[in-house]
Amino acid sequence: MSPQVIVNGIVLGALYACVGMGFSLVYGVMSITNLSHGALIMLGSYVTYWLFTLWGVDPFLSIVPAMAVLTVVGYVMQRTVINRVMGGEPRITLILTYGLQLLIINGALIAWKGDYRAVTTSYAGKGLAIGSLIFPYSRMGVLLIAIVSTIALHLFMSRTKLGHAITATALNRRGAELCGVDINTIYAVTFGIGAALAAIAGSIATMVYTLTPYIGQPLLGRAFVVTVLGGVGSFAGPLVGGLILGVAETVGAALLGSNFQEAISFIILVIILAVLPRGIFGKRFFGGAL
Amino acid sequence: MTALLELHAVSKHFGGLAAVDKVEFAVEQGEILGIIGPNGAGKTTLLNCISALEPLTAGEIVFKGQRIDTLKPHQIAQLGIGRTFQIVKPFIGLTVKENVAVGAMYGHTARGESVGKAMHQAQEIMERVNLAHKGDYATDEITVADRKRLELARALAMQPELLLLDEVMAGLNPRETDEMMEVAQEINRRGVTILIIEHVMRAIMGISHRIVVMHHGKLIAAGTPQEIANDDRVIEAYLGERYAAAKRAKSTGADSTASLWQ
Amino acid sequence: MSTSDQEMQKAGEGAKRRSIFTPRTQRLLSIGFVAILLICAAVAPFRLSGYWVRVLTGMFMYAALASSLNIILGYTGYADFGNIVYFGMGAYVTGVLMVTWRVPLPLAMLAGGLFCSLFAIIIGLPILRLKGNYFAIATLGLSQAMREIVRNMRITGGGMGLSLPLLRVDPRVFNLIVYFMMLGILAGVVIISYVVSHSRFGYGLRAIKADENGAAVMGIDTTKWKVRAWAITAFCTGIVGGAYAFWFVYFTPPDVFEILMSTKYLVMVYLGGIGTVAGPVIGAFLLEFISDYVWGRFLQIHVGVLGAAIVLIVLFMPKGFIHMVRSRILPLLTRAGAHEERS
Repeated sequence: MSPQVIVNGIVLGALYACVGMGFSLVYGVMSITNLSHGALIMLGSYVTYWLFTLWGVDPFLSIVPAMAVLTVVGYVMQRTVINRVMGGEPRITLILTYGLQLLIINGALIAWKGDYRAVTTSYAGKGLAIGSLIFPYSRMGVLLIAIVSTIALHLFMSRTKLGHAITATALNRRGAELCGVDINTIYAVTFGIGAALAAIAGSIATMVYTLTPYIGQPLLGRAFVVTVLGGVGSFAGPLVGGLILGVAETVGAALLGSNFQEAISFIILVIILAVLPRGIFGKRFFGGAL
Repeated sequence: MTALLELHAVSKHFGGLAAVDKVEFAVEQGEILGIIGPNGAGKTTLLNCISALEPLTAGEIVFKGQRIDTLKPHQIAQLGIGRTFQIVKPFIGLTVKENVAVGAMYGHTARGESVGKAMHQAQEIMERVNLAHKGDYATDEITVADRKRLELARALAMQPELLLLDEVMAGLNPRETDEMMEVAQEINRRGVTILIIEHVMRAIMGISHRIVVMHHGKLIAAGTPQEIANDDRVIEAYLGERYAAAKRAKSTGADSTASLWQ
Repeated sequence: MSTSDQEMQKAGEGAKRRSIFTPRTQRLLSIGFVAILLICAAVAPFRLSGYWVRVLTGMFMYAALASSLNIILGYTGYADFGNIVYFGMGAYVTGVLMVTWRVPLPLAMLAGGLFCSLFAIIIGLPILRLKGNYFAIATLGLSQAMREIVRNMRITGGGMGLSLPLLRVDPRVFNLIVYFMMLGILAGVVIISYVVSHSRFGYGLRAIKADENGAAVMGIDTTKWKVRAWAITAFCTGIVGGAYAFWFVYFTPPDVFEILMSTKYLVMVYLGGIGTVAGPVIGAFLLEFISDYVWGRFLQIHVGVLGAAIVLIVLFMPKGFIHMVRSRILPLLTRAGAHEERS
C-alpha cells in the first residue's frame, strides 16, 4: 500500500468535510437530520455544470453563484415547509426532508434527464508530482476550499452578529427568543447557510464524480458519518471527521477491495456511535439528540 | 424497625459541581420522610440517583438489604420502588386508564399482570386518587391536578413498597393540596413507605413523620417537623444569614418560628 | 368542585371519545368486515385478469411489509428507515437455500425469517441504543452496507443476481399460488400485529414510544422489549422477502435492498395510521393504488409523486388516515347521532 493512498484519502476527506459542514450545522442548530442535503448538493453540482458548459466558468469560481442560488432555495424550503414541523417529533422532520429530497431529485430528472455528465477542466488529471507522489491540482483545490470554508464558517459564527444569534439559538432557544432573536428567521437563515455549504460541496463534487441527479446520494451517508465522527457544535469537527473518513475509506479500499468502501463508512459509524457518541470534538449541549 | 432504604455517603458530581455531596440517611419502613431545601439543593438529583436515572459518583444505596445503585431503572422499579416526576410526563397516546394499567403490568409484581387484570387494578387505583371517571380521556384532555393524580396513580399501580414523590403538590390550589395530602397519608396507612420532596411547606410539614433538609447538595439537618422548623441552619438556608441572625437577636421561642413555615 | 374545574370537566366531557356503537358491536362489525374482505380476496383471483392478480399480490406484499414495519415504527417509535435490509436478507437466504441445497420453499422461507430475527437481535442490541435520528441513519447505512456485502459474496451470485428454481406449472396457476401465499402471509402478519397490539407487550412498546425513561422507571426493560419488537419486524419482513424471491425468481442486490422501496412502505404506515392494526394495510392499498396509476401514466414523476405524498401527509395528516378519520369524521357522525336523540 503506497503513501499515494493516504494522499488520495486526504483529498477525498476534504470533499467529505465540505459535504459534512452544512449537514452538521443544520443538525447542531436545529436538531434536524436533513435528508435532503444530498439533493441540495446535487443542485449545487448542476449550477456549476451549467455555468461551466454554457459559459466556461471554472468550477472553483462557480462556488459563489452556486452558494447564492442554494441559499435562497434552502431559505425558502425551511420557511415554507420545514418550519411547520419544527418542534415536533424528529421522525416527522426526517420523513419530510426525505420527501422533499425525492421531489428535488425527480425535478432534476425531468429537467436534466438521468444522463451522465462531466465537468472536465483543462487541468483535470494534471497535478504536482513530488517524488513518487502525485498531488492533482483539482484535488488540492478541494483541500484548500475545505480549509477555507471551515475557517470562514468559524469566523462567521463567532464574529458576526448573525452568527452569534444562530449560536445563541442553538444553545438556548428560549433565551435567545427572550433576547429578541426572531427564531423563525434564524432557522430559515441557518438552513439557507447549510444549503450554501452544500452548494460548495456540490461544486467541487463535479470534479470528482460523474454528474447525475443521484450524485448526492452516497454523499448524504458520508455527511452523517462525518457529523457523528467529528462531533456537533465545533468547527474543527467536520474537517477532522471528513479527513479521517476519507483516509479510512481509501486505506480500507486498498486493503479489502473497492467494493467495501460504503460498508466501511457504515462500520465506522456504528463503532463511533457505540464508543464515542459525542464524536471527537462534540459538545453535549449543542442540540444533540444523544 | 429495619431501614427500608439506606443512603451511605451518596455523592453525585456533574463535572466540578457536587449536586449531591456525601448524603447519608435512612428511610424507615412505614414512615413518611420529607426532603426539603432551597431550589438547587440537589433533591431531585438525589431521587434520580435512587431510581438509577443518574449513576452515582460515590457511595452506596441499599434497599431492603440489597445494594441497588448498580442496577438499571427498570430493575429498581421491579424491586418495589416507584416514583413520580416533578415535570409530569404521562404516556401520550395512551388513555388515562391505560397509563395507570402500564404500571400494573410491569411494576413490582411477580411476573406482571395480564392486560385484563391490569385494567381492573387501574380502575381501583384511579378511584383511590379521585380519577375514576376520567379513564377514557386522552392525556392532554385533563386538568393539571388530574395529571398529578395520574402520576401518582401510575406509580401506585406498580404496588411499590417505597414511593418517591417529587413535588407532587406543585401547581395545586389549597383544596387540591389538602386532597393530595389525604391521599398520601392513606397510601401510607396501607403500608407504603413514602419519601417526599416538596416546596409546599404546609403539606410536607403536615404529613411527614421526619424531615431531612438539603442545601448545596449536603444534608444539613434531620428531625421531626417541629425540630426542623426551629433549626437555625435550616432557617439560614431558606431565608439567609441576616434573617437568622436577626431572629436570634429577637429570640423568643418555638411559636414565632412556626409562623415562618405557613 | 371549583368553577374552573367544572368548566374543564364540561369541556372534557365533550372531548371524551364516544362512539355510536358499543365496544361489543364494534368488535362484531370489525370481524364481519374482515370476513367479507377475506371472502372477496379468496374469490377475486378467479374473476380477474392476470394483470390484476399480480397487482393485488403486490398490494398484499406491501401491506404485509407495512404491517411488519409498524411494529418497530408505529408501536415502539423507532424510525427504521432501512428495514428493507430484512427483505433483502430474507430473499437471499430463501434463494440461496433453495438453489444451493434444494431446501423446500416453506422451510427456506422460515429459515429466512429466523435468520433475520437473529440478525436483528444481534445488531439491535447496539443500534437500538441510538435515539431518533441516529437510529434512522444507522439503519439506512446498514442496508447500504448489506447490499454491498451481498454483492460481494459468491454464494449469492454477487452482482449477477440469484435465480431460483422455476416451478413447472402453468403461469396462471403460478400466479394463483403466489397470490394466496402473499395473502396468507398478510393475514399472518396482521394477526401478529393484532396480538402484539392488545398484549402487555404492546402496551409496553407504546410506553417506550411515549417516554422511554418514564417507561424504564415503571419497570419496563426497554432494551429487551425494543429488541424483541425489532426481531418480530425482522422475522415478518424476512418471510415476505422469501415470498418475493419465489415470486420473481430472479433478482439482484439492488432489487431487494432498494431504499426507495422501504421508504414507500414506511410512508404507507404513516399514511394509514401509525400504531394501529388496520392503518398500515389501508395505507398500503391506497398508496400502491396511486403508485400503480402514476406508474402506468406518468412514469417520469413516479419518484416525485412519492415525495409529494410524503410532504403532504406530513404537513396535513401526520397521524395518518385512521387517526384523521377518528378525529375529524367520527365526531361528525356522533354529533349527527346526538342531534337526533335530542329531537
